[in-house]
Amino acid sequence: MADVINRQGLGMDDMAAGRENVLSCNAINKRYGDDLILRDVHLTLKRGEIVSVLGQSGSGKTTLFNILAGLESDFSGEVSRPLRVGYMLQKDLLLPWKRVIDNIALPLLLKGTGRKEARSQAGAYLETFGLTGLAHRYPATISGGQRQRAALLRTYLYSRDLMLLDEPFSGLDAITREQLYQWLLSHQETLGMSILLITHDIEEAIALSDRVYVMTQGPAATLWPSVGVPHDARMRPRNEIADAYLSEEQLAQVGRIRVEIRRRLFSSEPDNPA
Amino acid sequence: MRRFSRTQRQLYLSAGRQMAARILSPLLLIMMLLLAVQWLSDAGIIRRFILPAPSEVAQSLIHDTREMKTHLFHTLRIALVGYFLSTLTGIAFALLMDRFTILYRAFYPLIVITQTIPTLIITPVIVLIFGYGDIPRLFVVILTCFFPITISLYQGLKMIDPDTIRLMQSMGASRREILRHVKIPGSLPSFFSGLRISATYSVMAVVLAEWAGGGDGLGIYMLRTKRSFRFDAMFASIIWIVILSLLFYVSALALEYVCMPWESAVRKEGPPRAGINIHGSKQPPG
Repeated sequence: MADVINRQGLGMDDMAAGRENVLSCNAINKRYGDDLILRDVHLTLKRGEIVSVLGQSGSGKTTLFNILAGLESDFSGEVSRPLRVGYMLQKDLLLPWKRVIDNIALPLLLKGTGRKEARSQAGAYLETFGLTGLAHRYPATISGGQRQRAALLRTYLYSRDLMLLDEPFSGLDAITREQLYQWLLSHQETLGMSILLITHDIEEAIALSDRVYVMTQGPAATLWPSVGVPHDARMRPRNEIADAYLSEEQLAQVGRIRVEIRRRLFSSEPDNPA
Repeated sequence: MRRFSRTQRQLYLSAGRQMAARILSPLLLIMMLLLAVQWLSDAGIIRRFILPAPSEVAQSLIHDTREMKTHLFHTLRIALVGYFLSTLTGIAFALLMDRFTILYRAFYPLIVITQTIPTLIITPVIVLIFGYGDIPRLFVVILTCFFPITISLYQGLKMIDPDTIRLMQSMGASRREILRHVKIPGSLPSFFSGLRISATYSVMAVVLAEWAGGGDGLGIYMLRTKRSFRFDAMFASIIWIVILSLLFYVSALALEYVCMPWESAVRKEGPPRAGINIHGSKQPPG
């Protein structure tokens, strides 16, 4: 079924098809002691793509992310990634003692940019990220959605080439989350972000991604080949008003993708690994 | 002039009222207790050679100030220097113990042991070792005060969220940068609670040390007035000890307030408000 979906052209976005990989990993295996955590993981991400890794809690998604972010070096396999990899967690991890602008400018400061220059560079993005007027506030005094966007901007300023987002939206309420999806989809292209997203939410994966990797359960997790999501189907599954404008065919596509992803989630083995 | 909205003004007003209540209620209680003692004393229920009347202590506070001044400043100086040195020692110990686990393992039990030795007993020994003068007094203050500072700062450093440290590492921060941007500011609340405890100990520690030696100091003055049965003057010196200790405590509080502006920002700017700037000013979502 995976092959059918890919061959039908629901696969990669045409725009992304010609672009180079910003991330690729081959045959990654990871052990903790005698336990095999990750088995033969293959994954690629092209410039400008949003790709999701979908799986249950504890399936090894975070371990995979740590490997991709370079925080974990004890594994076998090949990883080719940009020099800098942005990393963002569910917790915004803004430093409470720094004002919003200084939190955002921190990666620039760590790269060696002067404080003033770092602030002005970071300040240029505040409006785009919906943080106008909040530069000199402390994180405790802004809302959850604002904090999450500040954390996203910090990640962006560290590296737009590859941003690893580990369940970045799961701590937010439904409305705020939806607003962030819309924001992300409308800005991702212009800001030139390449995003790998961890999530356990099927709808979120379909709503945001160009492709979805499903991680198998169990002690030695691996990834299914990715399922493509056509551009005009993104963001639709959650939006009833938009659903009205979708053709029967498009709705059927989204439905098929959803069914396929479910099937993979509940089956233990990929039938055609990599 | 800043202009406040109605709710903001109410907030400020109620904050002022809370502040007044916080200061006034303990003052009122102390006044009532003093009045009660004064009345018991006037009525002859409490004998004056056992507990002097508050009015006598007040008179002694006023009349004996000149006599007391040298002692007072001497004690203040030792307490200040000792407090400062113990803060430095405490910070150094905590940072080193945080950085090198082996140092923590080696020193921690010893540090705890130093706290179990009764100061009153060990002080004469310290005076024997260091001789009379300011050095043994400083030593006693440091011995007493550096413990709360060390332990609180150490715990603060250890309690930093490991995810934050991992994030900093993922952004290529060095150990020193992590210390500067995350660990030190993050451990300040804990550090200051230790600093406040030490603040109340420092003056007491000097007085204890003074009891074991000669020269100047409130402790010396206290012993002298006690031996000559001038209980009013003795109580006056106790009041000075209380005042000095409170001064130290309030200074530590003030320093805390100045060093952690983000703590008071929540009170000033109010809790987070949704609906402001959610989409930026120009780009409402589709």
